[in-house]
Amino acid sequence: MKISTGQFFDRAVLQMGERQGELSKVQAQLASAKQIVKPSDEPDRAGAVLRIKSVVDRQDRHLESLVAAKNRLGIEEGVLTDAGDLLARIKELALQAANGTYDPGNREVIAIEIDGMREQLLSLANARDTQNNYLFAGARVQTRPFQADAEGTIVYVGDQTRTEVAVGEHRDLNMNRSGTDVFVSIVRRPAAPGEQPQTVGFFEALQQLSDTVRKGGEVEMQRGLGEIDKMVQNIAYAISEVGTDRRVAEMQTEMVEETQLQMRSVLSNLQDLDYAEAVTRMQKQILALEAAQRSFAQISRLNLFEYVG
Amino acid sequence: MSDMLGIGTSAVQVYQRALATVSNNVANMATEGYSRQEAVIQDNLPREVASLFFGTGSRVSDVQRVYDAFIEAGLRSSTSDLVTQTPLVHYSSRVVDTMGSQLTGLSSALDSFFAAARTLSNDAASIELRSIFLSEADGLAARFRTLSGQFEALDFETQEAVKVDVGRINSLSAQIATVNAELGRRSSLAKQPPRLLDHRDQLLRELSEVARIRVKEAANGVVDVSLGGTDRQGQIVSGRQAFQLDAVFDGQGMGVKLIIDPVGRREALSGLSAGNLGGLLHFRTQILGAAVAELDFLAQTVSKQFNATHHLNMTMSGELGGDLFTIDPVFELDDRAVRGQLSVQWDVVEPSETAFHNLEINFDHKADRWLARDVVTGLEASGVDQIRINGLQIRIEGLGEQGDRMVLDASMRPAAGIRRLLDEPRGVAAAAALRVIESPGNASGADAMIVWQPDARDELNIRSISEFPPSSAFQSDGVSFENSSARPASLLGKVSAGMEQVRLSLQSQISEPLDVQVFTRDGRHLAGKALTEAQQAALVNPSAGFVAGATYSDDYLNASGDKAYLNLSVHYGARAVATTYEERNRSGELIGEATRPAVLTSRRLPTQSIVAGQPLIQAGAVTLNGGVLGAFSPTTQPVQASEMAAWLNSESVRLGLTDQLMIEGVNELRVNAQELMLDAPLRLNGVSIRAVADPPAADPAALARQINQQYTATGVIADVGSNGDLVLRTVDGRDILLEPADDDLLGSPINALAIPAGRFSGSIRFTAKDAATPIQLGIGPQGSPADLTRMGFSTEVWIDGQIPEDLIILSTGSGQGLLSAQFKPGELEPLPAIREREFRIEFTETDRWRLTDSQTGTVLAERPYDPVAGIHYRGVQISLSRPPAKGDVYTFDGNQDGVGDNAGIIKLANLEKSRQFIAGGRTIAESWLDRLNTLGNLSNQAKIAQTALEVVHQQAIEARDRVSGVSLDEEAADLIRFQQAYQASAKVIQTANQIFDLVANIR
Repeated sequence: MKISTGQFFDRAVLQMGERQGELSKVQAQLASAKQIVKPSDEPDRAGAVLRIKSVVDRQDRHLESLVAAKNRLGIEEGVLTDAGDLLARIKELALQAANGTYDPGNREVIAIEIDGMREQLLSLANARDTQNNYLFAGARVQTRPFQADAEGTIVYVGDQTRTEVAVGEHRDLNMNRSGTDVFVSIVRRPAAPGEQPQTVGFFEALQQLSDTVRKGGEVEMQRGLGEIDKMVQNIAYAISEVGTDRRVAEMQTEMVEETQLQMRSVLSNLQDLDYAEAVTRMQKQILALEAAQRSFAQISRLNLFEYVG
Repeated sequence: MSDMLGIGTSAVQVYQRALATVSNNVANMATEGYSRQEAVIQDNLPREVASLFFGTGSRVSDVQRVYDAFIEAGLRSSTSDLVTQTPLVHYSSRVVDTMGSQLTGLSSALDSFFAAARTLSNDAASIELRSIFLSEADGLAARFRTLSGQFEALDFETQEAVKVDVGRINSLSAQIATVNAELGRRSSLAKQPPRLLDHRDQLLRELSEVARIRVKEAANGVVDVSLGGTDRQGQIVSGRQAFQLDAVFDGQGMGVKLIIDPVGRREALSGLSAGNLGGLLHFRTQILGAAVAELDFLAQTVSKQFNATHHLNMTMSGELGGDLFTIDPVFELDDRAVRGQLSVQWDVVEPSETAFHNLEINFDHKADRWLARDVVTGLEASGVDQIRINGLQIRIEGLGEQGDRMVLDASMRPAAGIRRLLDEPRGVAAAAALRVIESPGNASGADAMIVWQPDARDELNIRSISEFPPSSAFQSDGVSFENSSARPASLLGKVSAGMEQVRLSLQSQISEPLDVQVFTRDGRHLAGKALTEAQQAALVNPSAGFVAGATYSDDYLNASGDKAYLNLSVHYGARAVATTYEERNRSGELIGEATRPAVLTSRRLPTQSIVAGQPLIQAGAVTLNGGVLGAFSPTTQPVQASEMAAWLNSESVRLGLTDQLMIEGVNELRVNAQELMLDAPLRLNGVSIRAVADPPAADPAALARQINQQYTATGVIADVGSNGDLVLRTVDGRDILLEPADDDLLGSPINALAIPAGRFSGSIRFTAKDAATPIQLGIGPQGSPADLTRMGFSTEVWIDGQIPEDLIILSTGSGQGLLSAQFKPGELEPLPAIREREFRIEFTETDRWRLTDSQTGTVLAERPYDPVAGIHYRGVQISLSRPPAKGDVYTFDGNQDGVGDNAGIIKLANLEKSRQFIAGGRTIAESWLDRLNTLGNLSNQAKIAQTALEVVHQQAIEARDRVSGVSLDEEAADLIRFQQAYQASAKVIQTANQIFDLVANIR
């Protein structure tokens, strides 16, 4: 089958050009350490890379939220622990006062101390975070949650909104506790049948306790001691809840980090270059180019005119 | 010649030419498009001698071009196919690179935006995080615009490439036509010069690179070339005539229209299937068009959905969120009809006023101003160098000349026009718009959740009073209806939320007890007459517009003040209030405002007769300013206003209302002075005023004096009014019986007043004694609107205050009625209406709840509780985590101070994963990546096709070369062959010479 001379040269040049093109592509891959130098090289792989990157980014956000949550829980735990200590001390004092041997002067002293600790508890209840938002106010973070009303009684003016943050693809974590979830109001059973149970605010109950210590009153004293117990218990519940939330946050952090690791390795498989394969390919292509060039040099010399005349 | 010399000589010549041909081939070895030539050697005609034939040598009969038309056509076709893929591969790679880039593609901008939203959710009250969120929103909008710009650049580039290709086609077809002209000089292909044919084929091959062509070759080698599917379709060369090809670009899309012979037959080409131009067109419509469409679609979706979610959240100032993004129209300036040098710029200054309408700008050289006009609405605006129209500020610099005209073409390119609109961090709506608070003392400890979830039950699909026929903004003429025993109640319409100063007016017959009833959808009866238990059971259900579970309550029936429903004031009956007016002095200047005390006047009393033993109006049927009136039993027949007024006055004394009201009976007849027949007889209330034979009265005043003379008998006083009218009045409102004199002719009014004879009854008029007192006639427990009709009044429902929710209008009773309505229009959106108030839900039982408005204490609803369905009130949906206990209280409101709430921004962040608003259930990112995949596949396919077609193309080239290409080896062999033949022929001549010598030397 005849092949024209022009065609012979053209074809050889074309093929050498192709070999060189492939070589330069491998070189670009080796230089950039990426399998896909441009998305158009392998569009579906490029699409998959973008998809996985979004997921990886999202895990970063989840980790961020977890850090914020853990910070907040840490602050809350500190405040609540302090509050628990204060209440324990109040309970001690109340027990002392309940002991009938104290005279009004001593009781006055105890009452004053209880009042002082009550003030400290109030400032703990109105604690703020690093952004100057109130911790225990629900969503009303710019309003002081425990305030005195027109008659001077301390009432809760925050709300009950629970803020949650996303810490996983399908996992939300509760960030806050409202004031009344922690400084729980006391419900008193009705004195007489047919009456409604009475709800007394936390600080109001403490105020009544110190009043009772001042003035005396067996029944009220017993009642007051029972209520202090309940308050201590409620704070303990709150602390344990915070502790549980912290553990959950820790576990979730681990899970998210593991997910992230997996995703990162998938990403790497997709976009990072397999050096062994690339270098092997490059060797092969260099060989092919050299062979093409050499064979061209040899064959192009073959010409009948060389041998005639 | 058959002799040796002759043969030898001819042979030498032949081989000389053959050698020349071979060396020509060798010389043209590298010439583009050259076809190998062969010298065709044929033997000469033999000479016949006796019965023997002697050969006479050979000749070169032809120098033939070695050529196969079929292979040539195949080569053109495979060239077209291969070249098609080149622009596809090249440009689609660029599109895929743009779309799929990690740094500059859309995916990373979306990721950053949602990341900022999630970060904000960690601390929703932080101004700093809000600013970051806004700057990411800006980044997202900017990314859309950048990508749009890159696609626009590709659009422009490919447009230019198309123009270049069209130019190539035109120049090649012109050259082919020229070649055809040359070829046309000879009549057969064999006689054509090979070089010309080679040139022709070269041109055809070049043309086939640009577009796939069909070639029809005539017998002499002249070709007709066409671009279409058949020989006649899309002909661009026909003999020596070439037709121009023109490309017209579609303004809005990627389409290109190809027109052949634009000045002549204007043939539109439906498309090109192959060639570089075909590839470009295919790329533009299938790939670039798809990419641009996807980008525009996502920009629009992002703007619409993010805005919609933002609108339902709450900002830091307690209001509902505004627009986060906006899409500006994109304008293109068409200033071809402008003569001078102008620089035109435009900016959007008021996003809410922009419209996607073309703007025409003309120069008015008389006023030296530019006049801009919206071609769709006709809105005009003008300016010397700045024009403000449709929310745009257009600046024009330079001198305008008469006749200058510009057009700003508006196009809807969302991706090019998307912009972040919100720039105030406090305006980021991160909180939920509704909040529910469980009361700390709740025994059940249930957690409550609230969402805004309006559905079909919250719509009241009945006609509003604004649609009563015929309607205008302020008043309508009304709907008529009929109730009967078969149909004891009619649903007449609704009062829409937001309306103010609503007044419904019922006209009904005396004999028929018909009531208008107005309710809230939760069964609170606001106006009308209390329903019986049977009526409650029959009417209060969803078929009449009430919500499911609504219960009836008449606590707020016809109430105002403290006992009112919210802050509405409702009155059922007839009513008048004081009016304010502007006081002006004699020259028309405004002095101040004055109030006129209330005046309530009835119509002329209807004709009604007494039934013996029964009062006309029962005791307790009618109330006046709160006091209950006793029975009215008139003695004269027919019932006269004078007697009714007397009764009312005595009741007024009894009820102690004399300080508030003045009550009188009035009756007035007015006649225009020109119409009086001063010579006609007149009889009033049975007393003859003028007889037939009396002399005519001199003037209206004289007639009045005549009437007044009989006053004591008739009770009628006459007067001449300021405009000359004759006015007849009765002091106490008694009837005026107008008659002609004894001998009258039938039909024509021949009394002096020129009015048909008859009885004119009086009216009742109440006048308040001071500006603060309203006049209120109400319907008592024993009464009905029929009683007010007896007094000449229609019954009205007056509702003062802004209507807070849709109200249902029914009528009960039997009879025919006409209900009309008056109102002041107003709008009240459902969600803001709820957010304005605080609501309190109390569980009166474990399965019953009561909803109260916290501010006024009004009980808005009382319904049974379904744990599965939760509580649904006017679009608000509340669910409880546990069964409620009796006494549980939950309050909900608009969350105005809940600035730390992050529920709103979480909803926005979750749009990332939402599959609700893109067809096929895709998220935004997935839609983009799917499109990237599709286009990437097309790009891959083009690459694969290119590789495959390369092979085919190579084979075609080789096939052609095999036939027409020059191979040096072959030529070398031919060279040797002809050389030897040449030498041999020379030898023949030598031999012939020797023989001749031999013969010549015979002595």
